[in-house]
Amino acid sequence: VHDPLRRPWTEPGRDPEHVYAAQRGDLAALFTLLREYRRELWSVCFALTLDRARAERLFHETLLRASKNLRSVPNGAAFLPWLVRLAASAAASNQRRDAAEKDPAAMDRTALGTELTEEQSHALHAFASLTGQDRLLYALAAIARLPYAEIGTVTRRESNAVIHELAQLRARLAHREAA
Amino acid sequence: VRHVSVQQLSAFTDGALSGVSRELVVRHLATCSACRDRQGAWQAADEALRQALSWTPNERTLEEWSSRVELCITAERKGLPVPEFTPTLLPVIAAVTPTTLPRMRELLEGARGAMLSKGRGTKPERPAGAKPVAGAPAPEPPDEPAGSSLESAKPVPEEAPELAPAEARAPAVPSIENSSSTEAAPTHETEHEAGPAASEVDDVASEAGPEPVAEEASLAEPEPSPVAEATTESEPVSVAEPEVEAEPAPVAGSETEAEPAPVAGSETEAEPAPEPVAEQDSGPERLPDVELATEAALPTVAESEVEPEPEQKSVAAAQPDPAPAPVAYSEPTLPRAELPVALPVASTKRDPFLELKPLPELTEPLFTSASLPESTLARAMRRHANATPPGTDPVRKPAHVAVPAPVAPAAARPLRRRGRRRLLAACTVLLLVLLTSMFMPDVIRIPLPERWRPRVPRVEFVRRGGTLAETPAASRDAAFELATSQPIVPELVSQPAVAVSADSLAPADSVATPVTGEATSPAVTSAPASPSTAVATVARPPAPARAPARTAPARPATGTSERPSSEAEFVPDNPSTIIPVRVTTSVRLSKPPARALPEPEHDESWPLLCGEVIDAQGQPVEGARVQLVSPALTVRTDRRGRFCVACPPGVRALRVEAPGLPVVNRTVELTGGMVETRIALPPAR
Repeated sequence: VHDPLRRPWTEPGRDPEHVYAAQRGDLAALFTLLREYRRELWSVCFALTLDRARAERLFHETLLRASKNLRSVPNGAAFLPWLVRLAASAAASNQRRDAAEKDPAAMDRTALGTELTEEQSHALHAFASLTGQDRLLYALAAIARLPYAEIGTVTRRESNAVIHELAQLRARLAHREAA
Repeated sequence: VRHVSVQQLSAFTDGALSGVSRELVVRHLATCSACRDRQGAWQAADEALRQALSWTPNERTLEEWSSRVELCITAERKGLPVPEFTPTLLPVIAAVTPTTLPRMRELLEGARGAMLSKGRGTKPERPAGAKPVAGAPAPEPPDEPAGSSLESAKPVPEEAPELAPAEARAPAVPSIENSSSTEAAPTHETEHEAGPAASEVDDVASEAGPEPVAEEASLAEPEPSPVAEATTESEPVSVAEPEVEAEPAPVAGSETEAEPAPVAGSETEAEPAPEPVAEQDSGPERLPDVELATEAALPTVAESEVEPEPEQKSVAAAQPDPAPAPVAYSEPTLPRAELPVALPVASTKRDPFLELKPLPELTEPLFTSASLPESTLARAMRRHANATPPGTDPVRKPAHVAVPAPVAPAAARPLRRRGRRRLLAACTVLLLVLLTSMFMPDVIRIPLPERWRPRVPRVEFVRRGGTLAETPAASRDAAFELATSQPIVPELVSQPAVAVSADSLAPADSVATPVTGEATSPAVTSAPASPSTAVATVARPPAPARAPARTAPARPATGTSERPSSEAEFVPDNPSTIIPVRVTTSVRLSKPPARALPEPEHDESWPLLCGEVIDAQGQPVEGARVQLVSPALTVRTDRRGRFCVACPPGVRALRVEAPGLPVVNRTVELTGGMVETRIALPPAR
């Protein structure tokens, strides 16, 4: 998912000027922003929901929310971290609805669209037992393979806290996998 | 052994360590097997998770999603109705057990054999094991290339040539193979004239010719064909790899040319009569090439996603669509693999492909997707084939491939259930409110903060059949307008005037729940320019006697000290009668509420109140609470039972509490300086 050739998630680039234009009603600038990070956003949505259909809904919802809450984008900051936080927030608000719709234990390739080995299945079930914020943190580290500093910027944590929480998450996941 | 911390291990797993820290962990892992195992398990879990969640929609799908979002945003900005979200990624396929593999193979072989036979213009009998294949168009429209020639299926012309002699030879192909390409001489190849996607068009192989297949794939699992016992010896024929770059001249465009075009090449050696290529491609019984491949040969999902060719779409749309066409699924993006063709031994006049019998209903959603690996599709078909109810004769079943009806996603059911639950909850709450309303007081006062001035509408419950059909405020407004438009009648008529106070203007039959604060609407709407001539015309209440009489009685405005009262004129129900009513509104100003004296700020000049708390035996009580009521101060006694507190001068009330002893209240007058007191707590009862 993480392309090392791409610029870091936290590097603003031309985001601030696009955000500024979008805040002033420029739809083209807004669409440019939304299109630029859609692949990263998809990976986050997929990791947060563990379901293709739900991830698509979350993707759609996040982009719509982003268009409505552009005022809250931090000045001069990169757009993607804010978008990821928005997706995590939307996922958290959808958590109850999703939990009512589907049993997490029924996660299989029907939802993921891929064949699962036994190891992958165990890892996924352990991963699914995490909360949304923990899932995001772990996904950024293990799936997107972001540096700790960027993870801290995206999730608004100190780097030390990221290290500590990730270690705890790994230990917890290993314990659940073993169980 | 001093192990490395989990933080170090985790950071090392993420590659976040460098320099000395990393060297330290590496050295430790070299010597400590426990940490090495743990780190390996973490790394494996990360990798497994990464692989499991590696699916990414292709660029076209993302583009479609972006366009959809942009459409929603644009519509929202323009005030147009926002289109609802419709998911494009549905659950892809149901689970297939490996036990259905032989059944799947039978199915595919039978379908292939029947297809080829039909392509030769014969009406073959359904081979054993043939079963309706339930395939579905991929639920991902953007991921599904439109290169499938099955979309252009046409009815087979009745004058199709009869079965060729070679057709009697049914190859005893044991199983489905997985191979890369075969250069079988007697093959029919239909090629699209399109570009790269032409390679995805199904190539229909004819039956085996005299020449052996050059590159025959190895048989994965030898298994007798369902029709093997009835066949003569023959060669397994595989579908050749599509040759995109081959000379297009010999092969006619299958989609565009309806003219029979003989396929050039060695095929004519095996075929007694040249066969129209277009016929193969356009017959309604045309089945797609369903490839089975081993897992190793499978591409990843992302790799299998290719962009469809728009030209093929147009060609497909141009073809007449036969109504009963048994359109099959399409998996054109998958790499090709050859299927051995099992030709039926004897052909009958009955074509099961054209009968279009109803398919057995699917018990669960069965979708195919272009983004799936081949084996997934194949297993799904196998599973469906296994779902044939026992006792049915698979030979008699039609072999056409049918598209199952789109199955509604299971997520719709909980939504409906939730809607029902919400409705039920709303009804329950309403019922409870109605039931409890009988026991509610007339007025419910809810204290609100002063700064909060909510605009709460006035709620009134009006009995049915009452004369006031509209809200009093609205009626007052209407009546006020009526009064201002009508001339004021200065004289009183014979009917007695009814004094109505401002508060009594509320309908008697109504129970109002005013909200304190400024949100409460005024009882009387009267804002005339001249107070002396102000007339507020209001509707006469139906039962004035029942009006709350908590206002001052009407008094004539004779006193000079009183301000001229506003006048109100009742408009009875009969508009012809005007009852002028003089209303006197007296306002009595009450005294302002006694405010508590502001507590003086702490001052150094405050007198000091000190004392000692003892029990009945004269022993000092430690830890007793000495509370000063005003100002609110609390101190505790020390070991000697003493306390000391500074408070403003005056008479102060003290409350002394000690655990296990009764409470004592004492009044102390503080004048200045220091006041000493001694408080004895009575013994506990």
